[in-house]
Amino acid sequence: MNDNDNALGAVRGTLTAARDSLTEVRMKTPLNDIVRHGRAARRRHKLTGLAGAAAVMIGATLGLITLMPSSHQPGRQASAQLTAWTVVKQSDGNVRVTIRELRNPAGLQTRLRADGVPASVTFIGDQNPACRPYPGAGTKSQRRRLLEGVYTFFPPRYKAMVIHPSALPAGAGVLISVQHYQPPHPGSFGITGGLVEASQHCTGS
Amino acid sequence: MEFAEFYTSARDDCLRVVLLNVGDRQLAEDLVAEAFSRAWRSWRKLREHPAPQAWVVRTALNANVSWWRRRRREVELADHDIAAPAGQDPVGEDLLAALRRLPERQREVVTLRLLLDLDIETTARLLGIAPGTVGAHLHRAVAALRAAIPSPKDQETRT
Repeated sequence: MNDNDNALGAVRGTLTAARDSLTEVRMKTPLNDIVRHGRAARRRHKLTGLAGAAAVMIGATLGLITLMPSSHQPGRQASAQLTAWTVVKQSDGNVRVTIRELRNPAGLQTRLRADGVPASVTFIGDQNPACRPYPGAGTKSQRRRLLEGVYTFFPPRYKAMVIHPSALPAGAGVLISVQHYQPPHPGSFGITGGLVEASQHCTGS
Repeated sequence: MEFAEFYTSARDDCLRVVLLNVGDRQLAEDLVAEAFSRAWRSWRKLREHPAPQAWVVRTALNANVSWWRRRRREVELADHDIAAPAGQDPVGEDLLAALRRLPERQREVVTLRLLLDLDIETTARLLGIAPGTVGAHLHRAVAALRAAIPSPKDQETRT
């Protein structure tokens, strides 16, 4: 056996061991959701391919469903109106951020700060240079106590993060970054959250 | 095989392989779900495919390409991800980091050949390249990845 074979064997062995260590990782998406999503995509594809002009009209109709930022105001939302994002301060003091689409991170940042969360919200790649990582970025368990992720890929396609301000270490603020994936479509994005040093220029306080 | 049977039997393996490549549990689920939806739409043709599972993995990884290219430039945020799987065993952590840094084509070849055990011919057909090119990519990739595996000597030194 030569060096190449040895190297290949070592790499293969380590990779398969890593794969096999993930036995607890399982798909949570039910088959019905996969099929429903596939059907919807097929319908969209047919509409686009077969009747461009009609699709434009349909698009114009769908345009009535607007995406706009909002704080939580039950009863005020029109039935055909989806919010791009919402910030809800819950009775236990936790703050739930739900995002369907984010075009204006500054708006969400302002809203969070108004609800008492020292926060910096940006797109990935466009971070605020005034922000400095919290020393050690906080431990993993600190971050897990502070931020809880909720996620749905299929319609209604939103991602949410529950912030527990009571778990915020002294002198720390919350960094929220949004990353759009490919292909671009509503809900095709990820949110990451972390800890930064709280400061006037980074988190507003 | 019916699509439901294929989904049930292949979904977890696909997810694990994609997760090793992207390192983010939620993103991996997102990408694999998208790839299976595309597989459902193309099932009439795909059911005859020699390696439908590999098709799903490759579709999932391709959907991620642009995201991945941007992410490579990120440093600070990598540690802030809250989507890491709880209790994930850090087997081969250095090697996986090296895998994620590989050029796209090399990463595809490693994934198909070593993680999905495809033969050279099938890998070449799936990627639309010559079998010799598969070998060349694999050779370069293994050379890069080998450096990320501690040698027995290193391990002795650590203990």
